Amino acid sequence: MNAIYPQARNTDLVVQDMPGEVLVYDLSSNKAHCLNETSAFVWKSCDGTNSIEDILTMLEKNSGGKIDENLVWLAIDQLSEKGLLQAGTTKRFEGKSRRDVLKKIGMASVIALPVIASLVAPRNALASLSCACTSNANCTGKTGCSSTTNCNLGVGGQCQP
Amino acid sequence: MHFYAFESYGVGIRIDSNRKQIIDRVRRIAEVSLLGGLTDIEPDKATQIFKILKEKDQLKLYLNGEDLADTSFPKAFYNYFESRLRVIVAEYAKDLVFVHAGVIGWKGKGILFPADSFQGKTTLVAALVRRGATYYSDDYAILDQNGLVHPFPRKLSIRDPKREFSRSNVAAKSLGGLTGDVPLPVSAVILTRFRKDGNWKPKILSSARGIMQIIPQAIPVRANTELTLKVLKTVANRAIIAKSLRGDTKFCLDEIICFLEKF
Repeated sequence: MNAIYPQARNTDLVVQDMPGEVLVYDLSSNKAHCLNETSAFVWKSCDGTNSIEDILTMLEKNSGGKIDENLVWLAIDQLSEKGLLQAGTTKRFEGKSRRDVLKKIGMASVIALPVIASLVAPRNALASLSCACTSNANCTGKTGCSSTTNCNLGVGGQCQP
Repeated sequence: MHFYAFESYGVGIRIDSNRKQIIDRVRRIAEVSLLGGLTDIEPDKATQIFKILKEKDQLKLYLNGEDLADTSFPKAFYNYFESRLRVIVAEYAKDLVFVHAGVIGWKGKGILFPADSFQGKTTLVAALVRRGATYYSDDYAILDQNGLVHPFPRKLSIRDPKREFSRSNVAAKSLGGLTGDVPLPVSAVILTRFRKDGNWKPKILSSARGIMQIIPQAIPVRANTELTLKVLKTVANRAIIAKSLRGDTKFCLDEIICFLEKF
Protein backbone atom coordinates (compact mmCIF):
# COMPACT_ATOMS: atom_id res chain seq x y z
CA MET A 1 0.00 0.00 0.00
CA ASN A 2 1.40 3.35 -1.06
CA ALA A 3 0.55 5.95 1.58
CA ILE A 4 0.21 8.67 -1.06
CA TYR A 5 -2.38 6.67 -3.01
CA PRO A 6 -4.85 5.50 -0.38
CA GLN A 7 -7.12 2.66 -1.25
CA ALA A 8 -10.53 1.93 0.23
CA ARG A 9 -11.10 -1.51 1.66
CA ASN A 10 -13.41 -3.46 -0.60
CA THR A 11 -13.87 -6.75 1.17
CA ASP A 12 -16.22 -7.76 3.98
CA LEU A 13 -18.17 -4.54 3.66
CA VAL A 14 -21.84 -3.96 2.94
CA VAL A 15 -22.36 -0.48 1.54
CA GLN A 16 -25.61 1.43 1.21
CA ASP A 17 -25.64 4.81 -0.48
CA MET A 18 -28.13 7.16 1.12
CA PRO A 19 -28.96 10.77 0.26
CA GLY A 20 -25.89 12.78 1.31
CA GLU A 21 -24.43 9.95 3.37
CA VAL A 22 -23.07 6.45 3.05
CA LEU A 23 -23.74 3.60 5.43
CA VAL A 24 -20.97 1.01 5.66
CA TYR A 25 -21.27 -2.21 7.62
CA ASP A 26 -18.01 -3.97 8.35
CA LEU A 27 -18.73 -7.70 8.42
CA SER A 28 -15.38 -8.51 10.00
CA SER A 29 -15.93 -6.31 13.06
CA ASN A 30 -19.73 -6.05 12.98
CA LYS A 31 -19.46 -2.29 13.11
CA ALA A 32 -21.75 0.06 11.26
CA HIS A 33 -20.34 3.38 10.08
CA CYS A 34 -22.24 6.40 8.87
CA LEU A 35 -20.06 8.58 6.62
CA ASN A 36 -21.16 12.13 6.02
CA GLU A 37 -20.90 13.56 2.53
CA THR A 38 -17.28 14.70 2.87
CA SER A 39 -16.05 11.41 4.35
CA ALA A 40 -17.98 9.46 1.76
CA PHE A 41 -16.54 11.51 -1.09
CA VAL A 42 -12.98 11.00 0.11
CA TRP A 43 -13.56 7.30 0.77
CA LYS A 44 -14.98 6.71 -2.69
CA SER A 45 -12.06 8.59 -4.21
CA CYS A 46 -9.55 6.30 -2.53
CA ASP A 47 -9.15 3.89 -5.42
CA GLY A 48 -5.40 3.36 -5.13
CA THR A 49 -4.66 5.56 -8.14
CA ASN A 50 -5.70 8.96 -6.80
CA SER A 51 -3.16 10.82 -4.70
CA ILE A 52 -4.14 13.06 -1.79
CA GLU A 53 -3.64 15.98 -4.14
CA ASP A 54 -5.93 14.39 -6.73
CA ILE A 55 -8.60 13.81 -4.11
CA LEU A 56 -8.26 17.41 -2.96
CA THR A 57 -8.68 18.66 -6.52
CA MET A 58 -11.78 16.50 -7.02
CA LEU A 59 -13.24 17.65 -3.72
CA GLU A 60 -12.66 21.30 -4.61
CA LYS A 61 -14.24 20.78 -8.01
CA ASN A 62 -17.21 19.06 -6.43
CA SER A 63 -17.74 21.76 -3.80
CA GLY A 64 -16.82 24.73 -5.96
CA GLY A 65 -14.38 26.28 -3.49
CA LYS A 66 -10.91 26.17 -2.04
CA ILE A 67 -10.30 23.47 0.55
CA ASP A 68 -7.39 22.94 2.90
CA GLU A 69 -5.46 19.75 2.16
CA ASN A 70 -5.52 18.95 5.87
CA LEU A 71 -9.26 18.36 5.60
CA VAL A 72 -8.60 15.49 3.18
CA TRP A 73 -5.98 14.17 5.55
CA LEU A 74 -8.44 14.37 8.44
CA ALA A 75 -10.85 12.24 6.44
CA ILE A 76 -8.08 9.80 5.53
CA ASP A 77 -7.05 9.50 9.17
CA GLN A 78 -10.62 8.82 10.28
CA LEU A 79 -11.26 6.30 7.51
CA SER A 80 -8.03 4.55 8.40
CA GLU A 81 -8.87 4.47 12.11
CA LYS A 82 -12.25 2.92 11.31
CA GLY A 83 -10.60 0.24 9.20
CA LEU A 84 -12.19 1.44 5.98
CA LEU A 85 -8.89 1.82 4.11
CA GLN A 86 -6.42 -0.87 3.17
CA ALA A 87 -3.99 -1.52 5.99
CA GLY A 88 -0.83 0.51 6.08
CA THR A 89 -2.23 3.93 5.26
CA THR A 90 -0.07 6.64 6.78
CA LYS A 91 -1.83 9.01 9.14
CA ARG A 92 -0.95 12.67 9.27
CA PHE A 93 -2.53 13.59 12.58
CA GLU A 94 -1.78 10.52 14.66
CA GLY A 95 -1.52 11.48 18.33
CA LYS A 96 -2.83 15.00 17.74
CA SER A 97 -5.99 16.26 19.40
CA ARG A 98 -9.03 17.02 17.30
CA ARG A 99 -8.76 20.66 18.43
CA ASP A 100 -5.22 20.90 17.04
CA VAL A 101 -6.33 19.32 13.80
CA LEU A 102 -9.24 21.71 13.43
CA LYS A 103 -6.90 24.65 14.07
CA LYS A 104 -4.80 23.49 11.16
CA ILE A 105 -7.80 23.19 8.88
CA GLY A 106 -9.32 26.48 9.96
CA MET A 107 -13.02 27.26 10.12
CA ALA A 108 -13.26 28.79 6.66
CA SER A 109 -13.87 25.52 4.87
CA VAL A 110 -16.63 25.58 2.26
CA ILE A 111 -17.68 22.03 3.05
CA ALA A 112 -18.58 20.10 6.18
CA LEU A 113 -15.78 18.52 8.14
CA PRO A 114 -15.50 14.79 7.59
CA VAL A 115 -17.45 12.88 10.22
CA ILE A 116 -17.87 9.16 10.72
CA ALA A 117 -20.34 7.91 13.33
CA SER A 118 -19.90 4.28 14.32
CA LEU A 119 -21.55 1.63 16.42
CA VAL A 120 -21.06 -2.04 17.11
CA ALA A 121 -24.04 -4.21 16.26
CA PRO A 122 -25.21 -6.12 19.35
CA ARG A 123 -23.26 -9.34 19.75
CA ASN A 124 -26.30 -11.31 20.64
CA ALA A 125 -29.78 -10.56 19.46
CA LEU A 126 -31.01 -11.38 22.95
CA ALA A 127 -29.32 -8.23 24.19
CA SER A 128 -32.21 -6.22 22.88
CA LEU A 129 -34.95 -8.67 23.62
CA SER A 130 -36.81 -10.11 26.54
CA CYS A 131 -35.28 -10.20 29.97
CA ALA A 132 -36.18 -13.88 30.39
CA CYS A 133 -33.48 -15.88 32.15
CA THR A 134 -32.75 -19.04 34.04
CA SER A 135 -29.48 -17.94 35.60
CA ASN A 136 -27.43 -14.80 36.21
CA ALA A 137 -25.28 -15.69 33.23
CA ASN A 138 -28.30 -15.15 30.95
CA CYS A 139 -28.51 -11.54 32.16
CA THR A 140 -24.97 -10.56 31.29
CA GLY A 141 -24.87 -7.79 28.73
CA LYS A 142 -28.61 -7.31 28.51
CA THR A 143 -28.62 -3.58 28.14
CA GLY A 144 -32.38 -3.32 27.84
CA CYS A 145 -33.14 -4.95 31.18
CA SER A 146 -33.24 -3.28 34.55
CA SER A 147 -30.18 -5.09 35.73
CA THR A 148 -27.43 -6.95 33.99
CA THR A 149 -26.55 -9.23 36.82
CA ASN A 150 -29.43 -10.91 38.63
CA CYS A 151 -31.96 -13.44 37.45
CA ASN A 152 -35.04 -13.56 39.67
CA LEU A 153 -36.44 -17.07 39.31
CA GLY A 154 -39.24 -16.26 41.72
CA VAL A 155 -40.99 -14.16 39.06
CA GLY A 156 -40.60 -16.78 36.35
CA GLY A 157 -37.06 -15.80 35.42
CA GLN A 158 -36.43 -12.10 34.77
CA CYS A 159 -33.16 -10.15 34.89
CA GLN A 160 -33.69 -7.49 37.54
CA PRO A 161 -31.98 -5.70 40.38
CA MET B 1 -35.97 -39.43 22.11
CA HIS B 2 -39.11 -37.51 21.06
CA PHE B 3 -39.22 -34.56 18.69
CA TYR B 4 -41.34 -31.85 17.11
CA ALA B 5 -40.20 -30.34 13.81
CA PHE B 6 -41.86 -27.33 12.23
CA GLU B 7 -41.28 -24.31 10.06
CA SER B 8 -42.11 -20.75 11.02
CA TYR B 9 -41.39 -17.72 8.81
CA GLY B 10 -39.20 -19.97 6.67
CA VAL B 11 -37.06 -21.21 9.56
CA GLY B 12 -36.92 -24.99 10.07
CA ILE B 13 -36.83 -25.83 13.77
CA ARG B 14 -36.67 -29.14 15.60
CA ILE B 15 -37.07 -29.68 19.29
CA ASP B 16 -35.79 -32.93 20.74
CA SER B 17 -36.56 -34.15 24.22
CA ASN B 18 -36.31 -37.21 26.38
CA ARG B 19 -39.89 -36.60 27.60
CA LYS B 20 -43.02 -36.59 25.45
CA GLN B 21 -44.79 -34.23 27.89
CA ILE B 22 -42.09 -31.66 27.25
CA ILE B 23 -42.61 -31.90 23.49
CA ASP B 24 -46.36 -31.40 24.00
CA ARG B 25 -45.71 -28.36 26.17
CA VAL B 26 -43.18 -26.68 23.85
CA ARG B 27 -45.45 -27.32 20.91
CA ARG B 28 -48.17 -25.30 22.63
CA ILE B 29 -45.65 -22.62 23.53
CA ALA B 30 -44.46 -22.39 19.92
CA GLU B 31 -48.00 -22.12 18.60
CA VAL B 32 -48.86 -19.27 20.96
CA SER B 33 -45.51 -17.51 20.76
CA LEU B 34 -45.29 -17.60 16.97
CA LEU B 35 -49.00 -16.98 16.44
CA GLY B 36 -49.77 -20.29 14.81
CA GLY B 37 -48.93 -20.72 11.16
CA LEU B 38 -46.50 -23.48 12.05
CA THR B 39 -46.00 -26.08 9.36
CA ASP B 40 -44.84 -29.56 10.25
CA ILE B 41 -41.65 -30.53 8.43
CA GLU B 42 -39.42 -33.58 8.16
CA PRO B 43 -37.00 -33.58 11.10
CA ASP B 44 -33.93 -33.54 8.85
CA LYS B 45 -35.13 -30.30 7.20
CA ALA B 46 -34.62 -28.34 10.39
CA THR B 47 -31.63 -26.00 10.59
CA GLN B 48 -32.07 -24.96 14.22
CA ILE B 49 -32.13 -27.78 16.74
CA PHE B 50 -33.23 -27.30 20.32
CA LYS B 51 -32.77 -30.11 22.81
CA ILE B 52 -34.56 -30.18 26.15
CA LEU B 53 -33.58 -32.80 28.68
CA LYS B 54 -35.20 -33.49 32.00
CA GLU B 55 -32.84 -35.16 34.44
CA LYS B 56 -34.21 -35.58 37.95
CA ASP B 57 -35.68 -32.13 38.70
CA GLN B 58 -33.34 -30.28 36.35
CA LEU B 59 -34.38 -28.97 32.95
CA LYS B 60 -31.58 -28.43 30.45
CA LEU B 61 -31.76 -26.47 27.22
CA TYR B 62 -29.39 -26.73 24.29
CA LEU B 63 -29.41 -24.98 20.92
CA ASN B 64 -27.42 -26.53 18.10
CA GLY B 65 -25.32 -28.31 20.70
CA GLU B 66 -24.65 -25.19 22.77
CA ASP B 67 -25.61 -25.31 26.42
CA LEU B 68 -28.10 -22.47 27.02
CA ALA B 69 -29.81 -23.05 30.34
CA ASP B 70 -30.04 -25.41 33.28
CA THR B 71 -32.56 -24.89 36.06
CA SER B 72 -35.06 -26.54 38.35
CA PHE B 73 -37.59 -23.69 37.90
CA PRO B 74 -39.94 -24.80 35.09
CA LYS B 75 -41.70 -21.44 34.68
CA ALA B 76 -38.40 -19.61 34.23
CA PHE B 77 -37.15 -22.36 31.94
CA TYR B 78 -40.11 -22.26 29.56
CA ASN B 79 -40.17 -18.43 29.54
CA TYR B 80 -36.52 -18.51 28.57
CA PHE B 81 -37.11 -21.19 25.94
CA GLU B 82 -39.91 -19.13 24.45
CA SER B 83 -37.73 -16.04 24.22
CA ARG B 84 -34.91 -18.00 22.54
CA LEU B 85 -37.35 -19.59 20.13
CA ARG B 86 -38.66 -16.20 19.03
CA VAL B 87 -35.13 -14.86 18.67
CA ILE B 88 -34.12 -17.76 16.44
CA VAL B 89 -37.12 -17.24 14.19
CA ALA B 90 -36.51 -13.49 14.15
CA GLU B 91 -32.84 -13.92 13.34
CA TYR B 92 -33.19 -16.41 10.50
CA ALA B 93 -36.62 -15.62 9.01
CA LYS B 94 -36.56 -15.99 5.26
CA ASP B 95 -36.72 -12.72 3.28
CA LEU B 96 -37.98 -10.80 6.30
CA VAL B 97 -36.32 -8.49 8.79
CA PHE B 98 -37.54 -8.57 12.37
CA VAL B 99 -36.98 -5.36 14.30
CA HIS B 100 -37.62 -5.21 18.03
CA ALA B 101 -40.37 -2.60 18.03
CA GLY B 102 -43.90 -1.66 18.87
CA VAL B 103 -46.03 -1.22 15.75
CA ILE B 104 -49.34 0.45 15.06
CA GLY B 105 -51.35 1.33 12.01
CA TRP B 106 -52.47 4.95 11.93
CA LYS B 107 -54.90 5.88 9.17
CA GLY B 108 -53.45 3.23 6.88
CA LYS B 109 -49.84 4.05 7.65
CA GLY B 110 -47.42 1.85 9.54
CA ILE B 111 -45.73 3.47 12.53
CA LEU B 112 -42.76 1.77 14.20
CA PHE B 113 -41.41 2.40 17.70
CA PRO B 114 -38.11 0.49 17.89
CA ALA B 115 -36.69 0.26 21.41
CA ASP B 116 -35.08 -1.96 23.99
CA SER B 117 -37.20 -3.66 26.61
CA PHE B 118 -38.31 -1.47 29.52
CA GLN B 119 -38.52 1.69 27.40
CA GLY B 120 -42.31 1.82 27.50
CA LYS B 121 -43.09 0.48 24.02
CA THR B 122 -46.12 -1.48 25.10
CA THR B 123 -47.46 1.37 27.23
CA LEU B 124 -47.23 3.72 24.27
CA VAL B 125 -48.70 1.24 21.80
CA ALA B 126 -51.57 0.44 24.18
CA ALA B 127 -52.28 4.16 24.69
CA LEU B 128 -52.36 4.73 20.93
CA VAL B 129 -54.63 1.72 20.40
CA ARG B 130 -57.01 3.19 22.99
CA ARG B 131 -57.01 6.35 20.86
CA GLY B 132 -57.93 4.55 17.66
CA ALA B 133 -54.69 3.11 16.31
CA THR B 134 -54.75 -0.37 14.80
CA TYR B 135 -52.66 -2.81 16.77
CA TYR B 136 -49.85 -4.57 14.87
CA SER B 137 -47.32 -5.63 17.51
CA ASP B 138 -45.76 -4.78 20.83
CA ASP B 139 -42.78 -6.99 20.13
CA TYR B 140 -41.60 -7.13 16.53
CA ALA B 141 -41.91 -5.12 13.37
CA ILE B 142 -41.75 -7.69 10.59
CA LEU B 143 -40.51 -5.93 7.49
CA ASP B 144 -40.48 -7.32 3.97
CA GLN B 145 -38.30 -6.32 1.04
CA ASN B 146 -40.88 -3.81 -0.18
CA GLY B 147 -40.68 -1.96 3.11
CA LEU B 148 -44.09 -3.15 4.29
CA VAL B 149 -44.67 -3.98 7.93
CA HIS B 150 -46.62 -7.17 8.66
CA PRO B 151 -48.78 -7.78 11.70
CA PHE B 152 -47.41 -9.81 14.60
CA PRO B 153 -50.26 -9.17 17.00
CA ARG B 154 -49.40 -11.16 20.08
CA LYS B 155 -51.42 -10.06 23.06
CA LEU B 156 -49.97 -6.90 24.55
CA SER B 157 -47.76 -7.77 27.46
CA ILE B 158 -48.68 -5.00 29.87
CA ARG B 159 -46.59 -4.57 32.99
CA ASP B 160 -48.14 -3.89 36.33
CA PRO B 161 -46.99 -0.35 37.19
CA LYS B 162 -46.73 -1.34 40.85
CA ARG B 163 -44.79 -4.55 40.20
CA GLU B 164 -42.26 -4.00 37.47
CA PHE B 165 -41.84 -7.63 36.47
CA SER B 166 -45.45 -8.68 36.73
CA ARG B 167 -47.30 -8.71 33.40
CA SER B 168 -50.69 -9.50 32.02
CA ASN B 169 -51.50 -10.33 28.44
CA VAL B 170 -54.18 -8.11 26.97
CA ALA B 171 -55.92 -8.35 23.60
CA ALA B 172 -56.16 -5.15 21.53
CA LYS B 173 -59.92 -5.64 21.45
CA SER B 174 -60.15 -5.22 25.20
CA LEU B 175 -58.48 -1.83 24.79
CA GLY B 176 -61.19 -0.89 22.32
CA GLY B 177 -58.89 -1.25 19.34
CA LEU B 178 -58.67 -3.27 16.16
CA THR B 179 -55.91 -5.64 15.16
CA GLY B 180 -54.20 -5.18 11.81
CA ASP B 181 -54.34 -8.02 9.33
CA VAL B 182 -52.75 -6.56 6.20
CA PRO B 183 -49.20 -5.32 5.57
CA LEU B 184 -48.81 -1.54 5.68
CA PRO B 185 -46.27 0.83 4.16
CA VAL B 186 -44.12 2.32 6.92
CA SER B 187 -44.47 6.08 7.06
CA ALA B 188 -42.72 6.84 10.35
CA VAL B 189 -40.13 5.27 12.59
CA ILE B 190 -40.14 6.90 16.00
CA LEU B 191 -37.15 6.27 18.25
CA THR B 192 -38.48 7.18 21.66
CA ARG B 193 -37.97 6.06 25.20
CA PHE B 194 -39.63 6.93 28.42
CA ARG B 195 -37.89 9.14 30.93
CA LYS B 196 -39.73 10.57 33.89
CA ASP B 197 -38.67 14.13 33.09
CA GLY B 198 -38.54 13.58 29.33
CA ASN B 199 -40.17 16.01 26.94
CA TRP B 200 -41.54 15.11 23.55
CA LYS B 201 -39.34 17.10 21.14
CA PRO B 202 -38.95 14.99 18.02
CA LYS B 203 -35.93 15.56 15.87
CA ILE B 204 -35.94 14.24 12.32
CA LEU B 205 -32.86 12.17 11.52
CA SER B 206 -31.25 11.67 8.13
CA SER B 207 -31.89 8.26 6.58
CA ALA B 208 -28.41 6.94 7.34
CA ARG B 209 -28.37 8.29 10.91
CA GLY B 210 -31.81 6.86 11.45
CA ILE B 211 -30.77 3.44 10.23
CA MET B 212 -27.78 3.56 12.57
CA GLN B 213 -30.22 4.03 15.44
CA ILE B 214 -32.41 1.15 14.29
CA ILE B 215 -29.55 -1.32 13.79
CA PRO B 216 -29.29 -2.31 17.49
CA GLN B 217 -32.93 -3.45 17.33
CA ALA B 218 -32.63 -5.24 13.97
CA ILE B 219 -32.38 -8.87 14.98
CA PRO B 220 -30.79 -10.35 11.82
CA VAL B 221 -28.20 -7.61 11.33
CA ARG B 222 -25.35 -10.03 11.95
CA ALA B 223 -26.93 -13.15 10.47
CA ASN B 224 -28.12 -11.46 7.28
CA THR B 225 -26.54 -8.03 7.03
CA GLU B 226 -27.25 -7.42 3.36
CA LEU B 227 -30.96 -8.13 3.62
CA THR B 228 -31.24 -6.12 6.83
CA LEU B 229 -29.61 -3.00 5.42
CA LYS B 230 -31.47 -3.29 2.13
CA VAL B 231 -34.82 -3.51 3.90
CA LEU B 232 -34.00 -0.70 6.33
CA LYS B 233 -32.92 1.48 3.42
CA THR B 234 -36.20 0.77 1.64
CA VAL B 235 -38.07 1.77 4.78
CA ALA B 236 -35.93 4.88 5.30
CA ASN B 237 -36.47 6.01 1.71
CA ARG B 238 -40.18 6.24 2.34
CA ALA B 239 -40.54 6.94 6.04
CA ILE B 240 -39.41 9.74 8.28
CA ILE B 241 -37.22 8.69 11.18
CA ALA B 242 -37.55 10.79 14.30
CA LYS B 243 -36.05 10.63 17.76
CA SER B 244 -37.25 12.00 21.07
CA LEU B 245 -37.48 11.28 24.74
CA ARG B 246 -40.96 11.32 26.18
CA GLY B 247 -42.46 11.62 29.62
CA ASP B 248 -45.61 10.00 30.92
CA THR B 249 -47.81 8.91 28.02
CA LYS B 250 -50.87 10.64 29.44
CA PHE B 251 -49.11 14.00 29.11
CA CYS B 252 -47.51 13.58 25.69
CA LEU B 253 -49.96 11.40 23.77
CA ASP B 254 -51.77 14.30 22.10
CA GLU B 255 -48.46 15.70 20.90
CA ILE B 256 -47.37 12.32 19.55
CA ILE B 257 -50.66 11.88 17.72
CA CYS B 258 -50.34 15.40 16.33
CA PHE B 259 -46.88 14.47 15.08
CA LEU B 260 -48.15 11.25 13.47
CA GLU B 261 -50.85 13.19 11.66
CA LYS B 262 -48.17 15.06 9.72
CA PHE B 263 -46.91 12.01 7.86
